[in-house]
Amino acid sequence: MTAGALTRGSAGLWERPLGGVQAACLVGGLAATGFALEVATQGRGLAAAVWPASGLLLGAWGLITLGACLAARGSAVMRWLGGIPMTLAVFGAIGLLALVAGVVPGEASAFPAWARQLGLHQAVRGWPFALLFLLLLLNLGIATLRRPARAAGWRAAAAPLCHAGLWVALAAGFFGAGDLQRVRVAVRERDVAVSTAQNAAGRPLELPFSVALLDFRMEEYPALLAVRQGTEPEPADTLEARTGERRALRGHVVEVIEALPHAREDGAGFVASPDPGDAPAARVRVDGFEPAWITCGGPVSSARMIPLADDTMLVMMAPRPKRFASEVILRDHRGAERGAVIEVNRPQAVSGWRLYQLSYDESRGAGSEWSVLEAVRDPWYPVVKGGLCLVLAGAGVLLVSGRGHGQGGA
Amino acid sequence: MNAWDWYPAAAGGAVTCWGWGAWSARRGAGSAWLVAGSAVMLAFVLGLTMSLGRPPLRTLAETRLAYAVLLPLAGVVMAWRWQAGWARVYTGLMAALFAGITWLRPDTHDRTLMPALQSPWFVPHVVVYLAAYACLTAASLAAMRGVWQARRDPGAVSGSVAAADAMVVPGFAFLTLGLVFGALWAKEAWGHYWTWDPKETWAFLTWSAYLAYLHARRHYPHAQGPALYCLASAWVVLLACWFGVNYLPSAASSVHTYAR
Repeated sequence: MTAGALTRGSAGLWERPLGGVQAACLVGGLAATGFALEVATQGRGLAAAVWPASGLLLGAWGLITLGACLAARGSAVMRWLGGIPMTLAVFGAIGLLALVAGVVPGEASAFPAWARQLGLHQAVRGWPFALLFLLLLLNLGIATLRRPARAAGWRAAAAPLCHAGLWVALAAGFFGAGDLQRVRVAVRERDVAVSTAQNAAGRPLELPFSVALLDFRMEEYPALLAVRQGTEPEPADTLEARTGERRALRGHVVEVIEALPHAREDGAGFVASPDPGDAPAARVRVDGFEPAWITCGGPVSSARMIPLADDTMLVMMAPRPKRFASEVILRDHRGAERGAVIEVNRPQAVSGWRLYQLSYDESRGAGSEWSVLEAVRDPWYPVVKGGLCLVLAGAGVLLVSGRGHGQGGA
Repeated sequence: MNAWDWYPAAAGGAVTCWGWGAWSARRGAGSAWLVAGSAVMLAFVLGLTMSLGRPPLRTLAETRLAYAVLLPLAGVVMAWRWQAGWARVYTGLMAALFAGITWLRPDTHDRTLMPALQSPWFVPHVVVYLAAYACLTAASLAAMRGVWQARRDPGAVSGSVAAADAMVVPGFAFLTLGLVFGALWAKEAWGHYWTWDPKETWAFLTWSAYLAYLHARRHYPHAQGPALYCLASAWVVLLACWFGVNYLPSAASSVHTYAR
């Protein structure tokens, strides 16, 4: 093919009414630019902007979208940029990147060298994703600004609400990513208050508040007994190790004669232990034979099982946590102190941060004397949450009205 | 006695009702049998809830139970609202299939509920997702029927497309509610609303697939063939999100593992 033919072909493509093919070309070009940037920056990725740059960038992108919409209202290019073919093309490309992230583990070692050079190990964090995301925001922003004028009645509000909410949530989440801070705070029972945390890279960070651990509490479910065949990890049929429980497991009748939530070896058997870090034990009778002791093992005792056949045995599985929590004293940046309990699904707010229960000494379980909390500062979350609430409202309208795009919706 | 010991009897009763409902649907009846089958399964789910002391929505097997309750109801709605009588056959048989899979693969069924799941978001998040899966399965079954019709009787395709369109709308609305509920819950439990965990990534892919279908139907209303293939394929992505992700290499890094 000659250079002249190439020129004529390209011109023809862009002279035709703008639609799906041109949208795919633009998206493909952006993705290729992103991959080229990945190679040029040797996979270093891109650094997220922090306040005030994050706010300025968000404002700038919003103004570019608004300005473009106002300046070229009704133009074919603007309809194309905010149109459905562009939506399909950009979602298709982002979907392919997400597919890579959804199939292959995120570690760089899981990818061959050429894929690492293209940044595929960080498929949803690298340059191609960022460029496509900006185009998605532009497409969504134009669609949001164009739709309200055409919407009529509450039944047609689903699409404008979803578009606007999604734009707010995605834009705030994208441009505000650099302002998100997540650090770990390790605290020990009856130790001094801690005001220093570590970030993911292990660097220390001084916090505007301090936290002291009074007590780490843990409740556990009763340990489970199961008949295990071979090396299967998780038998489906189980029996709780509670005194008096009786049930057939895979044809073997198992009866719990005595169960001790925390036990210590005493000769051939076990006795109750006051230490919450000790493992549970139970005396069980199987198929009417002489009772025997069984335990899952803990820090000071090894596991005991009851053999039933060549590759079959009765085992006790380690008790699972029901609830774990840290009772703490929080001292905020003004010096005000208060007591609080931090547990999973119940974080505590202090001085603009939120504290989450993260982990504990799993080898000691309920006897853990330390706790790891995660401190999170996410100043953009209220904006993201506002956007998500709009999306919820839009989805609610869609559900009640039953009108999608293809049925006369906005 | 563990409530799971009643499962063969409950599933047998429900499958009999669904099977009879699907058979009767050929004569234009069967809705009452489908509803009766779902009622039997719902009674079992409620009994299991009381026996376990928690909602049976933790493991894949438990979610299949609620799905089997909802799917025939979606078929009944399609038959009643859009005169798609065949939907009773498809959804009844599909519910029986999932009840059978649960009988073969019961997973664990103990009372434990990990702390991350002990949240007011747990039940609404899972229930709206299962409602979405039921609606979208019904829509995808309509699409598969449309693909089959396109080869034998192209004139009849538009009925399947209309039924599919009608079920995608509530399915996508439920899917969006589930996705947002999950994000709000993740913020409370783990400190961030979106981390590209493999399950989240597949939830995004599923949502994107149905979003693409809805938008494509609006812009290309006459391209029914590609739309039907797109909708049938989207169901594969949905299944990958629901349980296929557990078998992928990426699953090792997921925090969404609740079977144990």
